[in-house]
Amino acid sequence: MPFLVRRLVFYLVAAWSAITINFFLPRTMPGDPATSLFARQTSMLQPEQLDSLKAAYGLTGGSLWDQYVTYLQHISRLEFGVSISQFPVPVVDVIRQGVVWTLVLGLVSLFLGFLVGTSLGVICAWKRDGWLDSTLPVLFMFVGSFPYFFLALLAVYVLGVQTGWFPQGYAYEFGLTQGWNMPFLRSVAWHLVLPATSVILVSIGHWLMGMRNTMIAVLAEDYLTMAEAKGLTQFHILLRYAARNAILPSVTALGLGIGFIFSGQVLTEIVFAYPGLGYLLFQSVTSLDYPLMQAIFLMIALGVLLANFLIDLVYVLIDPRTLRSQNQAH
Amino acid sequence: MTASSPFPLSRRTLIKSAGVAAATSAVGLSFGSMPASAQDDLVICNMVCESGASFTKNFNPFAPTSRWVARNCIYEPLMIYNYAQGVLEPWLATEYSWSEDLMTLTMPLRTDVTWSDGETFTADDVVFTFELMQQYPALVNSASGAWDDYLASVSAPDPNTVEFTFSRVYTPALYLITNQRIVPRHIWETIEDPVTTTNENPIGTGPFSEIAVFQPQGYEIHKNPTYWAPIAIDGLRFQAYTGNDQIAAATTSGQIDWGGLVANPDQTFVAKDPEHNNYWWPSTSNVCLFMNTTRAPFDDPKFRHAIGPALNREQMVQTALWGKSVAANATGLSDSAFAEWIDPEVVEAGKDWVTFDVDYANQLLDEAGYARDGDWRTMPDGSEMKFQAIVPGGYTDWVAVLQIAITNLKEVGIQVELNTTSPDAWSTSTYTGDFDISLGSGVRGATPFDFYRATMSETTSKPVGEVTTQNFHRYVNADADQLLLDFAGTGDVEVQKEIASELQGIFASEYPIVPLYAQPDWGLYTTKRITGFPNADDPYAPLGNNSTWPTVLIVFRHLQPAG
Repeated sequence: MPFLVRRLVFYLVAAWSAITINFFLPRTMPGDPATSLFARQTSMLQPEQLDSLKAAYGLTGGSLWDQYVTYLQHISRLEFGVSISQFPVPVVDVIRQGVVWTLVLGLVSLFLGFLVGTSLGVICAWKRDGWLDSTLPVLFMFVGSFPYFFLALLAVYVLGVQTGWFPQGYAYEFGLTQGWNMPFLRSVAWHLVLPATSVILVSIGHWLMGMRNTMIAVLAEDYLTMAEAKGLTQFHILLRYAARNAILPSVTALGLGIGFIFSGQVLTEIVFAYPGLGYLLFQSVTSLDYPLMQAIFLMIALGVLLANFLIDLVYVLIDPRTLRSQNQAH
Repeated sequence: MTASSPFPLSRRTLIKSAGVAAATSAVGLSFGSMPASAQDDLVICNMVCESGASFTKNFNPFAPTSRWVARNCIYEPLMIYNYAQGVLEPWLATEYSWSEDLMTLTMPLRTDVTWSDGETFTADDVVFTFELMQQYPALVNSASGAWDDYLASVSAPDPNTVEFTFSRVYTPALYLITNQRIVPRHIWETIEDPVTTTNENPIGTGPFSEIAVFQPQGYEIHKNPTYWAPIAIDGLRFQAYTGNDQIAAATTSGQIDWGGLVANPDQTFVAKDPEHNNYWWPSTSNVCLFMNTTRAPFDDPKFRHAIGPALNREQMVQTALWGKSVAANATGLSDSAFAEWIDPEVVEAGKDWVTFDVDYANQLLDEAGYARDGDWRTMPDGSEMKFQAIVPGGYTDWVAVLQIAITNLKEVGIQVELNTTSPDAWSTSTYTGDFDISLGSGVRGATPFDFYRATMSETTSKPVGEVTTQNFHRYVNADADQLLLDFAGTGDVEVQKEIASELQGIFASEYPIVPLYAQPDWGLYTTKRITGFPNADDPYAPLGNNSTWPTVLIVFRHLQPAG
């Protein structure tokens, strides 16, 4: 399978670039983590102790090249070290706290956005040029083209700060026991409303237009005329013949969307102070926590690469022409 | 040996909330319901002491990243320097005595203290703690660096007495040694690596030791069942506020019983509930203008002298601190904190340096050879004179102060550009000596020793490129160093006061840094649920909860449920 091999090589190179950039980028930032830690402890630390502290925190690694090699070795063993800002808690533990909330927020908003958007797309296409079709797409394209942070800040300010209807941060109320109990789940759902709605609002337009346009193309196909000629009900034709065929590109996009959950939500989590990976990333950048920053960036990069790779695979399975056309090029 | 700033964390954490508090309270914010306690009938004090959106379990008192309670509630020191009263209060130790030659420090210990697991606290635990610090230099606490500097041995002549033997006479060590938090031998000798342990189930002697609730979003710590003094409240609660606006919102809406700073507290906080809400901002040190003395023209004392009268301190106090502070005197020491140390003669003689007088500043600069060429002055050799002032963009009060300073300096023909950075970039630049002009708080110790050691001593200065957190303006004076040695070499307070006068004289005639105004020790409280907090009328202890010294331990004993 030369096609897949080539794709695999491409992804390996891409992953290596991401890993390398991931190492060098934070180190070009001004300041260094030991000094900033030191700054917070001026009352207790002697300058001579900085070296002991650096050693304990694993911040003495010889030259940049040596550090890079060590870093690669650690990555290959999936060792991410300990967080500096929350020393000595392992990075893995810090990330574990955030990844759950990122997944909750990401999956809920992705699937709800997909569901609502595609359903509206189906309706718009079916009742083409009806009043829904002439208002909804325009409305949601407008909302979607709004700068996202502005919409989010507006939501926090009006619905969170001014009216106090919704919480301004956190994923659940402090003091509740975490687990499968009603008060906790209700609190989680309540805290999800603002951030999830903001994401859904801006993504609906995309799902709606995608579905509507494919639907219209599908509706013009001969087999739909055939179905109608067979005397099938309108509803049956809509769902089994039109929507089912038109939804394929949207499902692909949905799969891709999962890969982008880690990267796409950084802004949402920062604005809504939602304790997911994006918020952790923000914190780690401000506190120069290299190990934490690297691990999160890596998750984001690998998430995107993995999603792309899976889509490549799916295309091969669904549409054998992909393979052939690629091969013919040689 | 360390000099100590009273707000290692609080400045960074709290000052940023200042601007936002006004905004949030202006829109009439309500911040949801009160967080639930583990049990509703307990009297829990809600505190804000540390920043961060999510907490991780870390109660290691030797880690710079541990939770606030580790050093302020769970583990206790031998004695506590109560800087509101200027006295060293007995704590685990009942008193201290120096030997004749000042080479041995002896402290009898309380006999009624037990660890929270029921084991008896003895002198052996103290010896163990100091030996642990010796074995692992990366442990960070008050006695860090003691072994390399002045400490020779620690021993327990009997189970209730501990004896420190010194390698050289160094009396300021008293405040460092007594402030060391003590850990139990029977727990810590089994810990494999005390540097990296998170100590999730802490056993201490302090008033609060039982972790009742711990979540990334907050935690609650309850009373130590075996504590050696009566405590009337049941526990403390700390919430992880996601931002400074949230802290300000929670404070102004009355959810915080004991907090730090909100902007313009008379209007945003006290006015909300004048009967219960109060704040107390005593001054402890001065905010100063730091100039890098390794660079020209800041290496010229005449130039540093001229900067003083160019600055309008009254305006700084009005703008940055809502008028709630006072301009600094020429000794660099805070009037209220060091009243009995300040030499009135030095204050009088140095008045011209700290009094706003543009004509005088111009005159000094002209005399020193920095001639004016059009709008701007030039260096004596005729080259251009232009500086950069750096400050973290989030420290809104300091940004405002520097903006005023820049306008003032423009008046006298000195060109300065403001450069706001991130806190990390700022500390790296100032500490490594890569700056022209910066702002900072003067170091606050139990005696003036720490301040002058931080501003004029070679021991705190480092070559440009190496990190120093105290003498980052890098001014060194041999006379001052000798005086500091003399100061540390005597236990007689009267002699120390004479030496301190001489140090003040050097400071006010060499101008290592320019004192601006008194830095308040932020603290506020509401008495709706809990009473007994210290204030201006009853200053039994500091109200600030982020000092070098765990003075909160003194306050905890005075707290009572309201009504």
